[in-house]
Amino acid sequence: MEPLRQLALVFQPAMEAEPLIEQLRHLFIVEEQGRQDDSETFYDTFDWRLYRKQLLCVGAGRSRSLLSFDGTQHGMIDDLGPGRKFWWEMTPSEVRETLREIIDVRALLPMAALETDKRHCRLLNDDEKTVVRLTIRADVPVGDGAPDQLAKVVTIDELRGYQEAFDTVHRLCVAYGLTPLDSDSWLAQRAFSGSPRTPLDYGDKFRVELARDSDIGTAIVQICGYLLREIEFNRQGVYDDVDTEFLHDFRIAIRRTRSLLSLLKKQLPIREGSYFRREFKWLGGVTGKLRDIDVYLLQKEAYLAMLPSRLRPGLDGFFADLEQHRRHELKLLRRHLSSKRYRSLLSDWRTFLVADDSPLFGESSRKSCRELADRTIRKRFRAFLRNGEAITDDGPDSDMHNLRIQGKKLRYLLEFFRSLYDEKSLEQFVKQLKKMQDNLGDFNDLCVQEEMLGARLDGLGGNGRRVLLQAAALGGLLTVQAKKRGALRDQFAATYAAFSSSQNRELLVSLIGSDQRPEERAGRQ
Amino acid sequence: MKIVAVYSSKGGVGKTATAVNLAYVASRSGQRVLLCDLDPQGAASFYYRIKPKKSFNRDRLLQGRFEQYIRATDFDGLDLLPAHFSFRNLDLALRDEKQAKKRRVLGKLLQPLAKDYDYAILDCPPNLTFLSETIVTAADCVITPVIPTTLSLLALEQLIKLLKKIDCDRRKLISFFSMVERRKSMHQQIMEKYGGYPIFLQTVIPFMAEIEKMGLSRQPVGAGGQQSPAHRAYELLWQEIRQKKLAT
Ligand SMILES: Nc1ncnc2c1ncn2[C@@H]1O[C@H](COP(=O)(O)OP(=O)(O)O)[C@@H](O)[C@H]1O
Ligand SMILES: [Mg+2]
Repeated sequence: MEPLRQLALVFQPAMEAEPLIEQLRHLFIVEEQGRQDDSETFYDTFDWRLYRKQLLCVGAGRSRSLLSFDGTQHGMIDDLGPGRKFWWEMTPSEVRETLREIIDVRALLPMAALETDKRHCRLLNDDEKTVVRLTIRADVPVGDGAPDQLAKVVTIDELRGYQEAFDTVHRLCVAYGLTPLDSDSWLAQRAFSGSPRTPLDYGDKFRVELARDSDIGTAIVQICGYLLREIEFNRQGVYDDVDTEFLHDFRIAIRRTRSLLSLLKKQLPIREGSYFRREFKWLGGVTGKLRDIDVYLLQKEAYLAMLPSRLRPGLDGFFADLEQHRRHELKLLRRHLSSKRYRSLLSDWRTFLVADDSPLFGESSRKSCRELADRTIRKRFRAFLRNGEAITDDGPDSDMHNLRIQGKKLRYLLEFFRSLYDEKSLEQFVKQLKKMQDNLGDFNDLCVQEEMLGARLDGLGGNGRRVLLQAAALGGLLTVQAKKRGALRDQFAATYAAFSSSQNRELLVSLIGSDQRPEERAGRQ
Repeated sequence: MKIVAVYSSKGGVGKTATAVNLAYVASRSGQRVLLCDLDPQGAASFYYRIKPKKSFNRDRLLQGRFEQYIRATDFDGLDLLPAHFSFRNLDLALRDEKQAKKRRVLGKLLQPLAKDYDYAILDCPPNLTFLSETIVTAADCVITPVIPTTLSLLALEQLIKLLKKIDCDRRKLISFFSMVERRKSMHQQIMEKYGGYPIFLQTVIPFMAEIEKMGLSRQPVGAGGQQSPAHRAYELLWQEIRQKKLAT
C-alpha cells in the first residue's frame, strides 16, 4: 500500500499558532487532545549506532520510540523498566529486533533532551470522524549553550483514505505563511542542538588525517592525541560498567598506543619512551582479565548452542562463577582507574604530547613521516612473510600466534598512516590483511578459550552430580572447539597463500614503493 | 494475514457488533487489522463514522484495486474497507467463470493486502447467496453468533450444510452465544442443551445496553473506556478465538 504522508512545516519566528487553528475551524471540527508538556530524551549508543542509520530513539518515561530524522515513527516500546538499556531487556517486538540488529551489545544512553510543549489536534469532518491529525510543537533544547527556543513546528499526518483533507490542511498552512522545513533531518538537528555531545563525535573506525608532508613529531602527536581522547572518552563508561564495549574500546586504544610506542621506538626519546611503554603495558595488563571474562560471557549463547540440550545445565555453575569473578575484577579495575598511577600516566602523556618543549617537537622529529611509514611498513610486511613462510602444517600453535601479532602490528601501522597513501589501494590491501587476520585471530581465540576451559576442567574436584554435569558440558565444548580449531588450521595455508600472493605484494609496492637502492635499479637497466 | 469472517444467514444476531468490536480489540493488542464491511447496509462503516468514497465501483474492485478505498478509522492499527452496494452482485460480475474459481475470488482479492495486515475481519450480510460461498471459502475462520433461540440455531445448521455442499473444511467454523439474557428460560435451556458441543466457544456475549447504544455513540465499546464490561467480554472472546482457531 501507498505509504502515508507526513509533513513538517515551520512557523515564522514571531508567529502564533492560535490564528492558524482558528482558520482550520472554518473547515473542520478541531478537537484538541490536550497539551503535552514534557521532555523528550534522545537515546543512542555511545558510538552513535542509531544515528549512523539515520534513526532516533526517543524516550519519555517507560516508552521508547524509534523515529527517522524527520520524526516519522517506525515503532514503539512502552514498557521499558527503569534503568533498562539493552535490547535483551525489552519485551519482544519488531522494534526490539531492529534495535538488536543495530545496537548489538551496546547500551542505549541518554544523549540529548528537548523540553517540548506539544499540542495534539484531531481535525474532524461533519460525521465527527478524524480526517487529519496535526501536532504543533515548541521545543527548547536542554543543555548549556543551547539556543533558547526553536521556531514552532507543525507536523501533519495523513490518514488513509483522506488525502483531500490532508492536501487542504497543507495548503492552508502554506497560505498562513508556514514554510516547509528545508531539511529532512530537522528533528535530529533540533534534538542535538543543545547537547554536550555532537553526533558522530565518537566512532568505531580509527581515522586520523595526517598532512601528506607531515613530520614525524606532528604525526605522533596527532595519532596519540586521538588515541588519548579515546582512552579518556571511554574511562567513565568502563568505571560505571555501562556496557562491555567501553572496556573493549578502551583496551584497543591502549593497544594501539603501545603499538605505536614500540614501532617508533627509535623516534622517541629513550627515557620517556621506556616510561610510557612500561606504564601503558601496565594499563593494558590490569584491564585484561575483565575483558577476558566479558568475552566468555558474551559467548554464553554460542556456548549453549554448541551443546545438546541435556548438557546445557552443566554450564550454569560455570557462568555463575564467571559472573562472580567478574564482580571481583571490576572492583580491582575501578581501583586502578582511580589510582594515582593512572592519573599520572594520563597527565604525563598529555603533557608529553602537547607541551611546547616536548621532545616531539625537537630536531630529530622533523623528518618526513611518509618516509618513516614506508620504511616501517615494508619492514613489518617482510617480517610477516618471513614468519608466515616458516609455518608448517604440523608446526607448533605458537607460530600461528606470533604471526598474528606480526599481522596486528602491520594492521595498526597501515591504519595509523592510512591518510598518507592512496586510499583505494590501501583499503584493498587492508581488506586482504583482514581476511588473513580473521583466520589467525579466530584460531588464537579458540586456543585461549580451550586453554581456559581445559584449566577449568582440570580444576574440578569431587564427584557430585553437578560436578559431573559441568565436566560433561566442558568436555562437549572442548570437543567442538578443537574441531573448529582444526578447520581453521586447515584453512590457514590457502588464506596465507592468497595474502602473500605476488599480486598482493605488488599492491603494497605500488603503495609504499620498493626499497631497491637507486644504483641497483640503474645497474639492472 | 488471517481472514476471520463473522457470518450468519440470520439478521440481527450481533454479527456487526461482533465484527466491529473484535476488530477494535485485535488492533488494541498491536495487530494490524482491516475490517471489511461486506454488508451493503454499511452498519460497520457507520459505527466507525466512515462513508465510502463516491468513486467506489465494482469493476475497480474486481481488478483487485481496492487499496484506494480503504480508510483509516480513528484508532491506531485499524483500517476499514467501507460497504458498497456492488458486493451484492459479485456473482453477476463473475457469471462467466467456473463455480470453483468463482468461489475463490474473495480470497484472491484480499491477497495483495496480506503484507499490510495481520487480520482481515469480515462483517457479512445476512443471507445465503453466492457471496456467502466465497466468504466461507476465503476465511481461515468463520464465526457465527447464535442467539440462544431455535431460529438462530437453524441458521447455524444451514451454514454447516453449506460448508458440506461446497466441500469446505468444517473445522474453520466456530460459534458463540450472542445477546444472551440469563433471565430468559429459553436462553438457559438452549445453552444447557447445546453449550457443550465443541463448536461453541466458552465465552458468551450477554445482552448489554452498552452494545445496544453503539448506534448512538458510533464507536466500539472499548473506545469509551477499557474498563467497560462489554469491551472485556469481547476481549475474552477474541482471546478464545485466537487460541482455538488462529494459533499457528
Ligand atoms: N450483545 C448485545 N447486547 C445488546 N444489544 C446488541 C448486542 N449485540 C447486538 N446488539 C444490537 O442488536 C442489533 C442487531 O445487532 P447487529 O450486530 O447489527 O446484528 P447483525 O449484524 O447480525 O444484523 C443492533 O441494534 C445492536 O446494537
Ligand atoms: Mg450487520
